[in-house]
Amino acid sequence: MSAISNVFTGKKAFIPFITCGYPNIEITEKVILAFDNAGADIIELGIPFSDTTAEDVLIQEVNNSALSSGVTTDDVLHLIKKISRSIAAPIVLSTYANVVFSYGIDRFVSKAAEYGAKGLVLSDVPYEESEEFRKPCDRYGIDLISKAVPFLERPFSEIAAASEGFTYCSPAGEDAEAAGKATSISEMIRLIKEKNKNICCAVDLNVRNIDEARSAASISDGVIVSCAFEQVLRLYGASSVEKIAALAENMRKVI
Amino acid sequence: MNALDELEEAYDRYKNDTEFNAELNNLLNEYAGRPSRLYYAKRMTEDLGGAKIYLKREDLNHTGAHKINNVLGQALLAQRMGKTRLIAETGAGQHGVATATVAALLGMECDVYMGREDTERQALNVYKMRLLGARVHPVTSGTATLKDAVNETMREWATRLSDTHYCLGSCMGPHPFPTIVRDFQSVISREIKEQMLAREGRLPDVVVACVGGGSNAIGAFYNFINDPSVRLIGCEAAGRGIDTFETAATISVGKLGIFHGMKSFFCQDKYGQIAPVYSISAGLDYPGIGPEHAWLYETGRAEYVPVTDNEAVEAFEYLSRIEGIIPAIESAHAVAHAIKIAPAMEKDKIMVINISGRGDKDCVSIARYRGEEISE
Repeated sequence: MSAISNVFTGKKAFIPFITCGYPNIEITEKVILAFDNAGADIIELGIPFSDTTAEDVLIQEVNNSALSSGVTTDDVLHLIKKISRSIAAPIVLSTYANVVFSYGIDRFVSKAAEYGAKGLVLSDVPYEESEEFRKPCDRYGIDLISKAVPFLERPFSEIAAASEGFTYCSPAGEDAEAAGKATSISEMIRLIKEKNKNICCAVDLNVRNIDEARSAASISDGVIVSCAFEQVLRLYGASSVEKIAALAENMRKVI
Repeated sequence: MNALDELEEAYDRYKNDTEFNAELNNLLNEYAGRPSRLYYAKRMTEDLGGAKIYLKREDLNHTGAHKINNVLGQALLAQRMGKTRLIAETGAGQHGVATATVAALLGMECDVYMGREDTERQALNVYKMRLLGARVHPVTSGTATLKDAVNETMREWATRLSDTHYCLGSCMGPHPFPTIVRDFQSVISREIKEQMLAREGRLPDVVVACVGGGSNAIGAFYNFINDPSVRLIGCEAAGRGIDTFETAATISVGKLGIFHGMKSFFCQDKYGQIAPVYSISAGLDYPGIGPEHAWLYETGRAEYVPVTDNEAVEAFEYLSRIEGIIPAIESAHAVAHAIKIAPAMEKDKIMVINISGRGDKDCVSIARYRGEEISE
């Protein structure tokens, strides 16, 4: 059991996400503390990347805006060093391959581990291509978290079986489901658990409010809330922290 | 990723299929106008006073560039996969026009993604695509140029795989795209080889081509890779110079990275953020280079050189005056390097320059570069 898989014991996990440096790194620090006070089980922190091709265009705007604020990979690592010991929730870093590769995979992973991060998600690295990143992660005790999408021809149960920490489940999209090329996310979770009931599946369903958080929790072991908090930041800027704290507390209650 | 497996499977199934290749060759010849001419540039040769210069006239293909070679191949493949819609990214608009053209020919739906800045630089091509029945989507995210158009087309494909094929225009992106695009473009070097053997009874000494992602160059190089006597030179867009930030010369200023589904060289900052790039040529304005070019560079089999905006504009004007051929500003980068090296070569040496496209689309912006405002 790792620090990350442990959080799923006896409860459903609440996993809020925020892009570091949006709108600036000082706000990010306050938001992380608010998440932790609200009872987050894992906190997922995005290191911004210039071209977030695996996500929608709003995420790209957030990332470009964070980069414009001047935030760098080193700033994010230093922030983790500063706060990881004072919060209860383990930190998972989330970014794109080139951010880690250009830093030096070994150098990045060893620093992240030393400063207190427990997991890593790489949005543009499919499971089959992950070995280059997986080996250093294993060496330094970082869970490389696999993303699974319910395409029927894809061996998602194998991905889940090999996953560390938890399996990060995202939907395939209505088009693929309608065309019979993909199944629903709840069916994918059922199939994964049929193979191995010990695997924890957290879902990223673009949850934006309390009702959606409740319904996402009902089909999974944990809920990743990826865009709701950035929506608040986009609307309220620097005065967002209290609103984010309140939303996080309410979400925690229903998950 | 599912779609990439599906594409690879289909390509493996059809690439050696007799009926598929017969249909493709028929369209390449009867519709696109292949084989393209290998033209002896007598006046240019005499003027430069060195190597004997031949021009591979990809500019004479239907739609005015090499892009149609690849689009015809991918569109026929997409049809066999049961797809009814083509989507594409485009920089200068040449690949977008080729895709819209073939979609019209085959009765397929077509959506093209183009950086907003490029829709302004290449307004004529935007109109052509719409005339051909395609929808053109200006992309405003990021730097609003070719890389952002690729981002947006990848996103669109991910949401609609069932009826849609992503007709990628360069030898880049995730496997199997670099292989597929190379194979469909390799007709260029296959023809150069046959035409040169028929004309001169031997292989050329140098092949020069411009490189953005690198599809015309890989097409012009491919059948010579195992002929070590043939020097292969790729010309990258240096923009305002490789010592400035306004450049797109990936091999000169980039480093190894992972982006757009490939491991290759990219223009990027020290934290791996993809750099905004610049070139007068919208078609070479891409921050990466196809992975096979990265390999040809690392193994020393091909050379890559930077060519500035100014050198390319001068070559654009030079070829127009001396041979009566207006090259695309992309292809003019290759012409510019040829002008530099041909005079120092022996007269019995033979050089081939790949004229990947025609320059009609560039006349307004080159006039503007020279301080002249023209409108049609």
